[in-house]
This record gives sequence, structure tokens and C-alpha cells, in this order.
Amino acid sequence: MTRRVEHLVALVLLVLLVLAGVAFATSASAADPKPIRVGSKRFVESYILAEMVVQLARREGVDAQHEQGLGGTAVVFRAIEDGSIDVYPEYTGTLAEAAMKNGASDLAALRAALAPRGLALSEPLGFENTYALAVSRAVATKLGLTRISDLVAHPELRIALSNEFVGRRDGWPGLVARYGLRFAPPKAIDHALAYEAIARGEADVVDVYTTDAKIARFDLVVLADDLHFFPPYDAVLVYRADLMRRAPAFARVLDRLRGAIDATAMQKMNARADLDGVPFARVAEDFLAGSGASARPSEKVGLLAGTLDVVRRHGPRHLMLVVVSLAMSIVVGVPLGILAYSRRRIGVGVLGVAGVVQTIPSLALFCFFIPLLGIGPVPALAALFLYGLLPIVRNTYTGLVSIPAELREAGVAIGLSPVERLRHVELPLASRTILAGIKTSAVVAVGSATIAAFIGAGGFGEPISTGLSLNDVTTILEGAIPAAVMALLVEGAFVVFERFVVPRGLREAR
Amino acid sequence: MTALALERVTKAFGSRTVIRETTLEVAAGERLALIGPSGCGKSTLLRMVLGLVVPDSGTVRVGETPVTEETARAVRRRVGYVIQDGGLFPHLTAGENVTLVARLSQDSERERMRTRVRELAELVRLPEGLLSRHPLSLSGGERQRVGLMRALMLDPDVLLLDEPLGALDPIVRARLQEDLRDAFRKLGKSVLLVTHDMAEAAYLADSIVVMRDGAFLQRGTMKELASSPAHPFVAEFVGAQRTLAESLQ
Repeated sequence: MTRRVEHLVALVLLVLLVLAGVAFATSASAADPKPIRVGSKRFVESYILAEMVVQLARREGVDAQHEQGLGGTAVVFRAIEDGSIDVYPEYTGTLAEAAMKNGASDLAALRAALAPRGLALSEPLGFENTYALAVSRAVATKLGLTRISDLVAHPELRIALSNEFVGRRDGWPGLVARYGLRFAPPKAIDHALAYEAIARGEADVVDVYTTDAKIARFDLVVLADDLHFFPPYDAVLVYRADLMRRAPAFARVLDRLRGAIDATAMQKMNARADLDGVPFARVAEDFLAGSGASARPSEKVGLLAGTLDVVRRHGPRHLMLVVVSLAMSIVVGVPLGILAYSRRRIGVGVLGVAGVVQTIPSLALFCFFIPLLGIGPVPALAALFLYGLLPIVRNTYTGLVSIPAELREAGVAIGLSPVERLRHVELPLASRTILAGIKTSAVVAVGSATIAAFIGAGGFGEPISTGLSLNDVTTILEGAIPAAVMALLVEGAFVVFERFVVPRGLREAR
Repeated sequence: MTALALERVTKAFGSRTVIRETTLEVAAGERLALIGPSGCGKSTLLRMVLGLVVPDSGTVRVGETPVTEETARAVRRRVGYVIQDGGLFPHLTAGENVTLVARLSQDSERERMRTRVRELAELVRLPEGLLSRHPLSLSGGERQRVGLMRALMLDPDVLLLDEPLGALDPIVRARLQEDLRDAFRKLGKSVLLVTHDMAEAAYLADSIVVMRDGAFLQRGTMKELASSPAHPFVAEFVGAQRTLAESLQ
């Protein structure tokens, strides 16, 4: 009797959790009509430009939202191609090489290449942000370095480059070929960290953006591109051609930004956000109000207040990602585990596939779903669901297989049908192992969900990714601390949950 | 009338022959013990009755029903089965173990079930209070009594016991032997008991079958086996079971 009540309570709790998660999920996607979505890459300048577009659009009465820091060029370009975002800031040189792969670099050629994909280009925004190589002033003085050609004589220098620059044809490989450089393979590093590396003397040469605020801050010498390797990198906006039809007022946003920002203004804005910690939205707002140069003191809030604010803003979304993906993993994983147990040959296959999925790096798995499901919480849920599957399938299978043979046979011998055995004997006996698998999945989901922010799914990963691109430890902690606390709470919740799910006779056996 | 019959059954696991062609009948109300050294095939015969082992040739019947894949489940509900240490499910209480199958049958009526459990507890001399405990907090002897209750719950025609007392210490074992014998007498059911203890076989069963290497050597009462063994091994096996008087000399 009491057992039945316990089961009922457990069931009700589970249903409530799932309903809560689904409610979050639907409320997040129910906003109608769709606002235009402005994407950005994971660096300060991209965030600021995207904020400007959002604010200008709102002034024109167009609802807009910022899909922050989606990742590198490949992810963002794919997102705009499949319509997950409508507009994002880009550079002509990047488009020419990384996204188009056809080498055309003037505006007319780029427009012609983009048109068949349903994409269009704005007029240049007014400044250029090209790649360049930089060295510390000490090294430059000692070795007499002023041009990239000067590096040929110094193959002993240590190179640290941003991940994207290492791989791009118009990046390191092309540069090496053009100048005939002979260096050891470069170290790939997050762009925001490259400055730290050179300041600590762990690297001699880094790649920089010419509008980067930190060039002055770290007293770096930018080497001249004397063989004219880097193509022009004019800042522009890439937008979906159908945007003009959906939101005609958006044309006025493009007008307002045409030639509006010069390189000095951009560098100052980068410095405010990057060095003074002023929020991107504020930097963009001040510039649009004409007070871009006024260096207002940044309003730093304490770590505790910041963390609480993060919990309030991102907690529900993070919880939704974990609860919904976990519920899906359980609903699919437990039956798969049972199938693996009852049909051993299928079982080997199921466990093998689930194991392979587990070895895919999480960011890669998230990105894999972008062409299928776009960006946002849906592909994140799909990826988290797949990640959560293996521990549940494996533990269900293991729990069932490790039931002592004489107990399994006792179930047969007293005349129970296969379904009755599963329901009344085998699943209860395996319940502790199955629950342990679910707990593992839940804790993994809390951690993996932080990576979901990189594909625009939100959650505690959002401050983490912002903090990474700013190299701001406080901001990173504001996301990392609540994620860690949530993982601990989940662990604790399962201790309580075990009392409801695992039969008393098995708990006494401990 | 026969309660159960194995007719010319054989069984091999791979290249190893476990049961040579064997025929065995247990009459209604008869108590028969299968005895022999470990690995002689006695448990395999018992498991054939339940359809847990399918013979390579020959037939198995319980009452009039041939045991096949289709009938096995119905047969199992008419046959009580007790194994060493009871084979109880640790996640259920003793009482839940006893009533599990009855609760899953359509005609389970709460009040009748409760009465039945009370009767059985009295029959196997188990204090009723222990029924709310889980198996792991019961003693070995108590678990065995619960196992016997579970086997008897649906009032089976036949009772199969596979080394039921093998894991118990001598005092508990002796007491349970007495209680088992009383219960058997009261119920008058057909019993097939597998054991390797000659004294236990003689105490609990009417007749004894001595087995070795998958074949029967002799069937008879204890007295017959002792006075006129049909095979040197029978004489040896009976002789190997020393009496207490002998040990004291």
C-alpha cells in the first residue's frame, strides 16, 4: 500500500518535471510574429556591431533579437544560409575566402556570388578590420622587425595563432606560402588569450585584428604586409535577401550604418567593451547616440550579484535544456536497454552506436545539428539527448544482465510471462543501476548544456562564452558557478529520488 | 494415477551426455527422492518437468498435460518449485514473494488470499510477523519456509524441491526436515525431491532413486537399497552415509 503511494508520488514528480520543461520550451519558441534575428561571431567587435543593428531595427519599429556569439565563420554563415539568422556583421575578405571559397573580393563579385544563395550585402560600414601579425615591442626592437618579410630570417620565433586563422586559406597557410616562412607548426589558441600569451613571453608572434583595442594596451608592433597578402577586410552586413520584403523598414537601418563607423571609432568601442568591461549594448547605444567617445566608467557589479542575475536570466533555460533532453533520453534509453537485453545481437549494435556518439566532441555534435535543425534550443536538445542516451542504455542493459541467473530462472519457474517478469522482477532488480545511469546522464547534461550557448541555445553557457571572448574570468565564473551548483543539486536530488524508485529490500542489501 | 512422468528422455549439452534414456513416474501422493553425486543429472531431470530444460528426445507429462513450449507456463503454475535458499526476490517482502503469482492471476481475491497466506504460514511454522520483512533480513531457515509457502500458494498438484535444505546448518536443517515431513503428510501431495543426503531422502520420501552419470542405478525403499543393492555404487553410496552411532565408535 505504502509502496503504491511512493510509486505514485515518484510518477507525479516526474510528470511535473517534464511538463515544466516542455512549458519552458514552448514559451521560448512561442513568440510570434518572428523577430529578425541578428547573429554575431565570438569576438567583441562582432557583438557590438550586432547590438547596433538590433537597436537601430527596434528604433525603426522592427522587432529584433541578438543571437550572441554563435561561433566562427563557418557556423554563422551556415546559420544565415539556412535562415536561422537574418543578418550578421562580416568582413569582405573573410567572405571571399572562408565562406565563398572563390577568391572574388570586390563587392560586386561578392554580391553576384551571394545572390543565388538568397543573401545580400550592405554597403561598407566605413572601417576596415584586416588580419595582421604582431610582435611585442621588445622583440621588434631587438630583432629589428617592421615587416612580415623580416620574419623569414627568424625561424626560431614561436607562433601562437587564433584557431580560425590557422585553418583559413587566406590565413596562415597562404601567408607562409607567400612570404616563404619556415616556422615550426604554430600553436592554436583562443584569440582573446593570444595577448596574454605574448605578454607572458610564451609566444613571440600572434595574429591580430587591426581594430583590436589590445594592440595598444599590450604595446604590440603590427608588422607591415609588404607583399600585400591580406585582401581588403571591409566591414559589411550580410543579410537574407527576403528580409527587405519581410521588414521593409530594415532598409533604413542599412542606410544609417553606411560609412558610419571609422576605424578609430571602432577601436575605441572595442576598448570600452574589452578593457573597461562596458556591456556591448551600452557601447552600441552610446555610439548611436553620438557619444561614442565618452568613456563612461563601467558599472561593475559584484560576482555574487552578477551570478544571481545570471541564475535569474539563464537558469530557467538551462534547466529546461537539461530536463527535456534527460526526459527524452530516459523515454528512449530505457526501452533501448531492454531491447539490448532481450535481443543480444541488437544489443551489441545499439551499445556500439551509442558509444560512438559519446566519442564525438560535444561542440562538433552541436554543430552537426545546425544544418538539420537550425540554431537555438532545438538542435541543442537533440545533441544533449544523444549524449544522455549511452549511460542510460548501458546501465539498463548492465542492470538487467547482471541479475543473478537463479533469480531470473525463479521468475520463469513460478510461471510468470516475459512481460510480468520484466515488470515485477527484472526492472525492479535493475532499478538501482538504471537510476545510476540516469544520474550520470543528468550531471553530464548540466555540463554539456553550457556548450549549447555556442549555437545560440542560451543557458549558463552564455556568460561563459561571452567571458571567454572577453578573457574576463568574472563573467566566466558567473556562468560556471551556477552550472556547478546545479550539477551538485542534481546529484543530491537523485539521493532523494532513489528512495522512491529503488525498492526498500534492495536498499537494505547495501 | 500418475502425477508426473518422464518417458525415455535424453539430454546432452554439446558433446556431454547429461541424461541417458530415462523413464520415471511419480504416482499421485507419492514422495520420491532423486539421489546421487553432484553432476549426475538429478537436477536436470527436475528442471525438465518445469520446461526449464527441454529434452532432446522423449516426452514429459504433468498429470495428463505434455510439457511443451506452449503449455510450459500453465504447467509451472500447477507445480510448486523450491530451490536452495528459497530463490526469493530481494526487492519484495516475504509476503509479496508468496503472493506474487496469485496477485497477477485474474481470480485473485484479497480476503481469500490473506486467509491462504495465514494457513500456509501455520503449515510451514513461520511467524506471521516475518512476512512483512525483506528476504535479506530473514535467516536461511526462514527464507526456506517462505520459499515453500510461495511454492504452495496456488495449491499445486506436484511439489518439486531441488536441494531445499542444502545451505542450512545442521540444527535448522533437522528442524526443517521435521516440519517438511509433517507438511507433506498433511497435504498428501506428490513430491519429487532432489538431494545428496541419504538420511534426508530416507526421512522425507517413500522411495529413493539412485542416479549416476545420467542414468538410474536402482529404485526402492531405503531398506531395499541397503539390504540388496543392485550395483556396487549403490552399496558404496548407502555405506558412505555414516550413522551417528557409527561415528561415535
